[in-house]
Amino acid sequence: MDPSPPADVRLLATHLRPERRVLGALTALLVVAMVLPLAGPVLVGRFVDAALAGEDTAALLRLAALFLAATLTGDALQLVVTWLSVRLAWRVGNNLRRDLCRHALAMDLHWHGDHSPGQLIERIDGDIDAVTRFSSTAVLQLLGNTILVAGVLVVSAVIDWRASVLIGLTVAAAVAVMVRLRRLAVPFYDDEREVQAQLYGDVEERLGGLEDLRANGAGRWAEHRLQQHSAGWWRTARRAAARGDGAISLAGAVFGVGSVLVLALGVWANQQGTLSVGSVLTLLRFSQLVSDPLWKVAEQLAEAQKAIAGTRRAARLLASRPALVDGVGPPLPAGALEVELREVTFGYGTGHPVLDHVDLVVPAGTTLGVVGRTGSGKTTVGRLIARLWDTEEGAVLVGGVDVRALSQADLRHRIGVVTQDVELLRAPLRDNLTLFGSVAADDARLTAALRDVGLGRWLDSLPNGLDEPLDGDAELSAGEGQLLAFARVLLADPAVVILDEASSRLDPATEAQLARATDRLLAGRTALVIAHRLATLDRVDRIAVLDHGRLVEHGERAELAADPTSRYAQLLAGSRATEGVAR
Amino acid sequence: MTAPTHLDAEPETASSYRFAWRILRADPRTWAISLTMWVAFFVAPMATGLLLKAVLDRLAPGSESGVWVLVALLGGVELGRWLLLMPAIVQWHGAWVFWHTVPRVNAMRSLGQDPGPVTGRLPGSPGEAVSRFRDDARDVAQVLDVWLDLVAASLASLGGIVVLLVISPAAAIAMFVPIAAVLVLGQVLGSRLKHWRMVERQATAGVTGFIGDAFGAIGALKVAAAEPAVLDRFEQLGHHRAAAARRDQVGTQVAQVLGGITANAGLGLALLLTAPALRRGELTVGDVGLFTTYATLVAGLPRVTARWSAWQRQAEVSAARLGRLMPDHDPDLASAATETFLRHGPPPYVPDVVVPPSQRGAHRLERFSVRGLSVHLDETDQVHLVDLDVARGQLVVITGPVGSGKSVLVRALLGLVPRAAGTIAWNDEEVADPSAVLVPPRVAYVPQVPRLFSEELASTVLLGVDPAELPRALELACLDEDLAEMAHGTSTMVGPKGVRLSGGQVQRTAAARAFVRQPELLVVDDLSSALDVATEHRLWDGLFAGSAGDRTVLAVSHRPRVLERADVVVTLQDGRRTS
Repeated sequence: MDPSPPADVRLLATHLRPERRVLGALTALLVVAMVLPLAGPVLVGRFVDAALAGEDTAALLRLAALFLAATLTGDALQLVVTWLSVRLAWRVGNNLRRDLCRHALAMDLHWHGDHSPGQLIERIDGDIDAVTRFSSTAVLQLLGNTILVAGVLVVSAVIDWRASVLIGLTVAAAVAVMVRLRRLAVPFYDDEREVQAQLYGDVEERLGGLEDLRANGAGRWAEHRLQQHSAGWWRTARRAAARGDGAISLAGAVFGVGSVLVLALGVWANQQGTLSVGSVLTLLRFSQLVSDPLWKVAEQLAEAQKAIAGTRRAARLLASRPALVDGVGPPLPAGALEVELREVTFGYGTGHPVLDHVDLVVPAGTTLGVVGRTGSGKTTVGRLIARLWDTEEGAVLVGGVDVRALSQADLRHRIGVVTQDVELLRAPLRDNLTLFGSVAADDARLTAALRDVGLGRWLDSLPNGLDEPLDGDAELSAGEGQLLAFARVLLADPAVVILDEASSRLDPATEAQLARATDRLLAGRTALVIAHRLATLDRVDRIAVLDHGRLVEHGERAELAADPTSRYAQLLAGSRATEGVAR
Repeated sequence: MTAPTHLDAEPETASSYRFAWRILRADPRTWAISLTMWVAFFVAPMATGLLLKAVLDRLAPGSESGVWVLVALLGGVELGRWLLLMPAIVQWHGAWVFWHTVPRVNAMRSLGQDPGPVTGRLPGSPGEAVSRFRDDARDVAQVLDVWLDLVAASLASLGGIVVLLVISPAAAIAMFVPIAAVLVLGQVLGSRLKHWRMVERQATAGVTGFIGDAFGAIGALKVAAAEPAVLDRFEQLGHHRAAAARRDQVGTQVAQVLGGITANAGLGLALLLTAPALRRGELTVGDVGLFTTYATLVAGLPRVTARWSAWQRQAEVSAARLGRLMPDHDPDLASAATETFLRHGPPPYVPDVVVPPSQRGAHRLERFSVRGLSVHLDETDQVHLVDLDVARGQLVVITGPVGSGKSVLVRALLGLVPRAAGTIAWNDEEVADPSAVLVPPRVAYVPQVPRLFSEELASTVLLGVDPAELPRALELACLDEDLAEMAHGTSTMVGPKGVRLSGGQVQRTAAARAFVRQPELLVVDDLSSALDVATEHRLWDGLFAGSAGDRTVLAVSHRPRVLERADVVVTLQDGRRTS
């Protein structure tokens, strides 16, 4: 045995500890609810013996009525126990879900690259669902039946100690079979759930990219993948069932044989004249009483196995550490912040540097245009400043502080980013602007921000205004989506702004409209404007040219533009030729 | 989306009997084998009870003969019953997977391959769509499962009542009355349960949908440090859902416990009613023993019926929801018999062979024309009476301000969104359903915001076509330099939504997807928005170089560079063509 409990047990224990009092009350109720039914078989036995002894009908009726009262009260109490336990299970389950969600939110983007939203639905909700189901029903069944078995053993010992021993041995053998097989089955249930997670993850992505699939005639391929995953599930499900549910079957056989042995013992003792017929029946009922509900437990055992597998995966998720750790340094000073890259080398962990020893300073309150061809590392610069990744060599400093010394929340509250792909939330417009209320802003501010970026007309056209639900990417055009992202940044009022191809999806007219808002956004702030199209850089102070991850040129925009030998001037000339009319 | 979804609206329902029955008919053998084993398992206690009666009756003085044979027989019945369960359960799990798989495969096939736009068939978020494939498929499978229990338990109960009637009509009545009462109660409770289940399901979909949405936009949320706000919202939704789930689960549990109550009540009543007869010696001690066994046997029915009516009702919503994934929202299409390959896996995938453009004959594009195309979405006119012509070898560019309907126009003429009016013609032949006809090798499409799937780069480009053209397509898409820098080249795993690729790389990967299919007509929605000028230049040059006027492209763009190249420029303004 391990000296320390496994992570899954520790996890559940941590979450159950605050519920000690409720658990205590539940257990007390459960004891009463489970002990009452023990009266049933005893009363049936007494009933039979009374009949054989020729007692009068009134005595028989009294026993029958007692039987009814005792068993029905037990049933009613069980319902109360259920109510309490379901409440408890949901409390604990939701706490677990919250912890998992918080943890997943804290993980870095690299990790999220490996975990699709569909997978996370399974991890945060599906797995815990199994845990909740298990703890609201199966735990009680297990606990209740332990009490029941103990009661049966005590009462049957009073009638005939040999029967009690026999019942005890049967229970022990059945439980041993189940526990042994259960342990064997856990990895197979893990396999099954893993296959299912893959299946749902794949389904989610395919459904999300349905238009890409359809328009490229790839529907048949998507179906093939589903068929493959389904076949995988069939295989793993049957394999897991053979082990997990095989346990039920074997344990059932043990109980069946056990109760027949109790009957045989009773028959023998009766023939010896040491046991009444009624007691034979009582003992037989007892031996069945421990097996009948244990069948229910066994039914729950599959749930238990799923729950254990789920808890294990939850523990694993909680054990995974984000690659980015919050610093403990002092908060950033107020006002504009300087941004500096010091000898930065970074390659997303692949060994191929995307940025190669880049040194770059953006003084507080100035704007820097970053240019270079696709894949030159421009976007990565922005990501490192927002600390979505950590540098592999060198350091990124914001406000003179290494970003690794800051808390991520503090840093990102001061940085506003608009990326090439605007991620819209399937939530009301208000939530899309404030990101679920992480920016405190009243309606007037929200409306003003939308008008500032040129979405005023669009807002007026919405029947529910700020409460209009946005249906994923569908309802806004990509250009409008980018305008919305601009509004988000305006509202957040950051000290540092990173515009990454921010206006790439806008037509020239809309872009011009946005220019005014951009000017306001950049005024007094430190800004990086990453652009393919040089025309969008007319307003920046300085220019940095990146090529294959190296900073090949850096200087005042006006100076570089004026120097015909500079890379920037050459790029500018090239772009004037290709982009046609200058705007 | 045709209509906004209201959270409180009563959801649509469809017959869960019909739905499950059609799935059953898809492979009746599997179901029948399960049923046979289940019936044997449920009915065996009838023999146990009779044997027990015989044993107890032989405990009276002077009638002991053969008691040990009977005890041994009883042991054999019990042992056999439980050992039968092992193969039964393994077999059942196979059937369980099959019942899930039929509607899933039908839905995936139809969504990916059936003609007609899929708008309005999928729920808003991918997370919710997964819930259709996961939870709704399970609800329907549960119906097929509960039918097994129902038939087996009914046979056992009926058999039990018949035997009891023969032995003691009074006992039979005593055991039947609580069953009848519970059955009636179950019906009353059933409609409540249905309502509670519906509320719970909506709350759950709210939670899973939220997880999917939030983590689908994790980048934006992280950049804005919105994690605490997300967590708050998640907790609110979880709180709401827990309340709904508690009610639902306790209600279901009450329905189940009623079954246990029946056994005790039935036995208690039987003892009350038969006490005088026992006293008079008309009944034996063995009969009382039989009552104890049969009380449990007979009472199995209410428990199963409670589950049956709950699940049957619950599945009505699920059947309708699965139906909504299908054309005309027809549940029959979701439950239709379909080929699955569960035992051995599907046969190896035969990639679509790309017929070289020179051998296409009838598919060869001469002229593509659109007349009077209008699109009505979200209660507004997105595109209004647009005419458009593309001749072989031309580059036609659609341009216009943000929100002018460029993307909608393109998606409508591809049949990805429904059109309100207008005709589309391929070589002057009218195309009634563009979504079925305007696919490779005729047309390939690069959407504005492409989606990559979590697989190897090569695989997400090919999506099942023959890899012969892959190198050329990657080169045309200007991905060769990026590939050289990737650790595993075309085997590089691209994460969900292509997270690890830059925006430009994602777009060029999607372009390669279209190029590898060598379409007659290439439809490109704003290909260059994430590309730098030089790369874009290279891409367009490569595309038209050496094509000998064979390359036909319909592109959405507002880049002067592209507009200059265009043979025809179509300008949209508020959904109308202005030039």
